[in-house]
Amino acid sequence: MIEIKNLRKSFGKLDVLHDIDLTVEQGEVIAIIGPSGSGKSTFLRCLNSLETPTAGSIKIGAHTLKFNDKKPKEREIRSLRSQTAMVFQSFNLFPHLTALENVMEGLVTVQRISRETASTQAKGLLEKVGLAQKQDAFPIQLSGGQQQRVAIARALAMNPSVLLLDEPTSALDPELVGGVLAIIRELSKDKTQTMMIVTHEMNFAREVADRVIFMDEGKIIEMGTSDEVFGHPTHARTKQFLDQLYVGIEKNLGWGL
Amino acid sequence: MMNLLSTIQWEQLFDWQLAKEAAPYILKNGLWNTMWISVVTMTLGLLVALVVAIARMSPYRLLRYPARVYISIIRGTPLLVQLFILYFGLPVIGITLEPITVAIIGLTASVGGYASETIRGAILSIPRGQWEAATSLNMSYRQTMRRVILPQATRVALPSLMNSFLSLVKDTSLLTVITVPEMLYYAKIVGGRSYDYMTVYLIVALYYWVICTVLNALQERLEKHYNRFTNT
Repeated sequence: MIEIKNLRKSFGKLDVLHDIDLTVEQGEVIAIIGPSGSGKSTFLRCLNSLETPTAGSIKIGAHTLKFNDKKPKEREIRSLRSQTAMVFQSFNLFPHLTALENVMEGLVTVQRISRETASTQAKGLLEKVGLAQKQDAFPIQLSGGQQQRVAIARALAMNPSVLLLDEPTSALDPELVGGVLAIIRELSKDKTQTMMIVTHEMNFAREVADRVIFMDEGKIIEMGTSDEVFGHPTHARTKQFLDQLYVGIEKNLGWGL
Repeated sequence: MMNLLSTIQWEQLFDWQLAKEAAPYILKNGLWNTMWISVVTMTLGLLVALVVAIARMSPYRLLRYPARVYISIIRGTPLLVQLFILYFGLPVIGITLEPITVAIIGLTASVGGYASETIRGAILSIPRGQWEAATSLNMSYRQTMRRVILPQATRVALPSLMNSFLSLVKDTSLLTVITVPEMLYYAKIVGGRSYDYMTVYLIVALYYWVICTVLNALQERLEKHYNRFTNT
C-alpha cells in the first residue's frame, strides 16, 4: 500500500534522510521512534510533500512520485497528497473557524462537497473524537487535548489512505495526553486505517504499533514488531536509546526496572 | 495673560454669522465628494494593495521587482507632488484627464502602495503551521490565501488599514489644488467671497474631525468582531 524506495532528503549540504526503504501494508500502524534530530519528522513530512525529498520514490495506493533534480509537478504532488492527512504536534487548527468549520474546511474547499453534507460528516467525526458538544467553539476556547482531537477529526475528514501523526501529544500538558492517545488507540483497533505515528510515548507505541521503526541520524536503524524492538533490540544504538529512556523513567519515578 | 486674552478680537477668529451660512453650504456641496472619493479610492486601493503585496512576496523576480519599484515610488514621493505630476504632466504626453479621474488614480495608487506593505506584513505574521495545515488538506495557494491566511491577516492589518483610511479621508483635502470640488474646495470659495478664511477652515477642520471620530468608532466595532476568536 505504501512503498518508499531510496528516499533521501538534504537541506543544502546537510543530509537529513539517507536512502530510506519501507513498505507498509494496508491497515498497519507504524510507530517511528528515535532521538530528536534523527529525521523522523522530516520523514513523515516527506510523505505528504510538506518537504520535497531530494531523491527516491514514494508510492501510496496507485500514486507514485519520483524525486530527482527536477521539481515534481504540482498536480502530481497533490494527487499523492490526497492519499494522506496530517496531524501536527502543535495542532495548527484554523483559529478563525469553529471546531465544526475546521473539520468541514477540507471537505468544502478541497473536495467541493456541499456545506450540508460536509456538516453532517463533520458532526459525525466530532462525535467520534468525543467533542460533539464543542462544535461551535473556537480553537482558543478549547484545551490543547480538545484541539488535537479536533485536528484528528479534520484529518480523518479527508478520508486518507494513510494518516500521518507527527508527535501528536508532545505539545500537550501531561493530564491531556491520555485522551488524545485513547482516540488514536480507538482508530487503530479496527485495523483499517493505516497510520504512521512519530512519537515519544514509548508505552503507547509498544501497545498500538504493529511495527516499530527506530531511526537515528537519518537512517532506519531497526524495524520490527513492538516486542522485537522494545523487548529484544538487536542494534546497539536502539538498546542505548531505550536504556536511556528507562533510566530516565527509573530516576524520575524511582522504579526499578 | 488675562490681559492678552481680552485683547484678542474673537470675531476675527470665528464669525458666527458667517458660520451659520457657510457650514451647511460646505457640508451640502463638499461632504458627498469627500466621502465617495475616500470610499472608492480606499476600496480600489485595497485591491491594488493585495495584488502588489502578493507580487512583492512572489518567488518570481518578474513580479517581485516591479512591485518593489512601485512601492518605493509611492512611499518615497509626496502625494501632493504625485497629484501635480499626474495633473500637469500627463497632458504634456497627450493624455488629458478630468481632475476627478486624476484624483481617483492618484489616491488609489497611494493607498495601494502604503496598504500593500501593511498587508504583506500581516500575511507574513501568520504562523507557518497555518500554511502547512492548509497544504496538508491539499488546498492550493489561492485556496489557502482566501480561506486561511487572509481572514487571519485581516485582523492583524485592520488597525493599520483604518489608519490609512483616516489619512486618506484627510488627504482628499489635497485634491482642492487640482480643482476637485471637495469640502476644502467649497470652504475656500466661501473664504474668498467673505475674506474670512479662518472661520471656514475651522468649520472644515471640525468636519474632518467628526468624520474621523465616527470612523474610529467603526474601527473599534470591527476589531471587536475580529477578536472574537483570539485572546488578545
